[in-house]
Amino acid sequence: MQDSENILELHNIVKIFRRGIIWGPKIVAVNNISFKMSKEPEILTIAGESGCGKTTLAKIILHIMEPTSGRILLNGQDMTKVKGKNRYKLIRLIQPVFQNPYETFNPLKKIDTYLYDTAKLVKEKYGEKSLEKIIDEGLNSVGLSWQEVKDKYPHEFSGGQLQRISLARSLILNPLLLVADEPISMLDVSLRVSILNLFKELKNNKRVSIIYITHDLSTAYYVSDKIAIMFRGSFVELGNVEDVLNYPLHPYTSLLRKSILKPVVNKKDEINEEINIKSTVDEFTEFIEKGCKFSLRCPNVMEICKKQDPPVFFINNREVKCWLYGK
Amino acid sequence: MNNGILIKIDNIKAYYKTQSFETVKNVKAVDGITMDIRENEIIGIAGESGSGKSTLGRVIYGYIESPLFLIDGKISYFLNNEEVNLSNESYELQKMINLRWKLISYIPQSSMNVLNPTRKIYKILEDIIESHNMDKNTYKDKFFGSLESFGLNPDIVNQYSYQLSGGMRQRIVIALATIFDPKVIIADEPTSALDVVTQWNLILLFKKIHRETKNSFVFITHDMSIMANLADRVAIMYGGKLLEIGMTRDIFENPQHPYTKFLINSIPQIGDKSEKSAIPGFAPDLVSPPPGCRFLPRCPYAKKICEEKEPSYIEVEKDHKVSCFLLQ
Repeated sequence: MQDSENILELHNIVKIFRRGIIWGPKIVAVNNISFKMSKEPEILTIAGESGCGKTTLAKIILHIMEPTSGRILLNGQDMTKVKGKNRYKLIRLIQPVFQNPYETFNPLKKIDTYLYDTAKLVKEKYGEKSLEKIIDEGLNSVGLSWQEVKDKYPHEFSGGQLQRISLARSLILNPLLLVADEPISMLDVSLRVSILNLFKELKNNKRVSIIYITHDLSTAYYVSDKIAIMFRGSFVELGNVEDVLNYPLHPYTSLLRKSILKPVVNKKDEINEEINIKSTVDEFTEFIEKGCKFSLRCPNVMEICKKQDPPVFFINNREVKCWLYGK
Repeated sequence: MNNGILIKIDNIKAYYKTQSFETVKNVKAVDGITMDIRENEIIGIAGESGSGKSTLGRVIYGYIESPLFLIDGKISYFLNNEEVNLSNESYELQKMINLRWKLISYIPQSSMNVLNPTRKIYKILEDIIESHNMDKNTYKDKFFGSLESFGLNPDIVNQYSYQLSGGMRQRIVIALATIFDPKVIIADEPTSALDVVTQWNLILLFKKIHRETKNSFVFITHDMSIMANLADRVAIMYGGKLLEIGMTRDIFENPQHPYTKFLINSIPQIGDKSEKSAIPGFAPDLVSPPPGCRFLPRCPYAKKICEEKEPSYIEVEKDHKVSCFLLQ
């Protein structure tokens, strides 16, 4: 397999869902998204509220779902053109980690079966090595061993352990990229940090890139290098995590940033000061909004925002999709 | 009337009983908890999943029905002129039922889904007012008033619940729960299924209700950030036990129990990239919890005595109690 500059490139990905049977209105769940992930391992967070299209985008990246239009380049190869056996081999380079570790595994099957099946796929690459050895190496990188996992059913593990096994299964295939969709939201608070630390470790030691999909900006800040804020199908802001979260440019990012509660007791009761409870705008109304989709809630809304969807503007290594930064 | 105490929980033990063939299992979800709910306060109950915090919420609401059984202890309510007791000796269930909604109300977990999808909102409202023999017109007006102050258009009462968004449904449930001005409102994870922006709005809403009505809130959540911003007092639960209870500032600035310290230090924050450490191990099985201190298998400071006895409560400062041998 030849190598390329970027392991993943998305060009103008669009996914349209229709509501109703034949003539229902269109919902653009993913609206013209382009981004690249370079060979140098990094953790990219895709953050957004529920209903922003982040899971749809994850499915498209994993090739579970076909985009309506747009191109995906995986390791330099155009996935719209690759067919057959090669396609499967390429898709294997991207591995998923799912949200709910309790539902990832069939409760009636032993955990081994999943690991064996996965290891068989890569057996030829390792030559003489036994399957157990391959599995053990995968498990070691997540802090478990074959002895601990052998002959056990999913209910015998805690949520954190299951999520580690799920990660280990992905790692057996030597992926270039992991797509983790809310991997910690079903875990106990005390176990979350350990999974996040594991992500960092995998990035540094195993040189795996990770797309971390979440709604939790605090953990995003902790774990990731880059962040993309998604709103109603589009990336509204993309850049280094420190820049974006410390100095947000897009009004939506500022709103999100303001809404995060800090685990610190305030000296003065500042939360009391600003009580303005605005009714939230219906998700669907925002999706079919013609201009900027945030214009219904935006505090800095201008005339142009209501008429035209803003393009992406580039400001110091950052991408912002907002008319405020247009010339 | 009772030194400002509204509900007194005295050494409560409430277990879930499950039976399959001959073996009976007791899930010790609430195992010997003593605390009180005071007037005009927001008390937070924090803990991980499986720590028994929701069961404690049910116990405080006096909703102890099979498979949950009251094993030991007593709950006393001082909500009106008369004291109501729930214990194995005197189980005044009918009196307790009379208190519900009017003086104590409960916002259950996933309360977005508690509204009947086949009835319009105003029908649900009428049902609630009628079944409590209250005056229809006054409380209807009051309900519309609170909807408006929550940022909702009163016209939505003509809709079905499935036509509304999660945040709107949540606010309707809160408006219904507060309709008769109860003295105590128990809210079980009311914000966990919501977006951060909606969550922020709800926290403001709870503060607003609290300031205007001066009632007490029992707030059950696993999110320590909400605790820091909302609660006056915080109780930390673990494995069916109360490990630490105190004023919010004391808990966050001067945590004493190793578990509380871990919990507070392990929360990632924006603007802080320092390495966080996770708590080793995992939560105990409540069917056969470890003897002695429940946190023992995960505690880095465990001593011999922790295995043998359960630690008692020590008051480290005013209103701040900890159950740990390290302080003894």
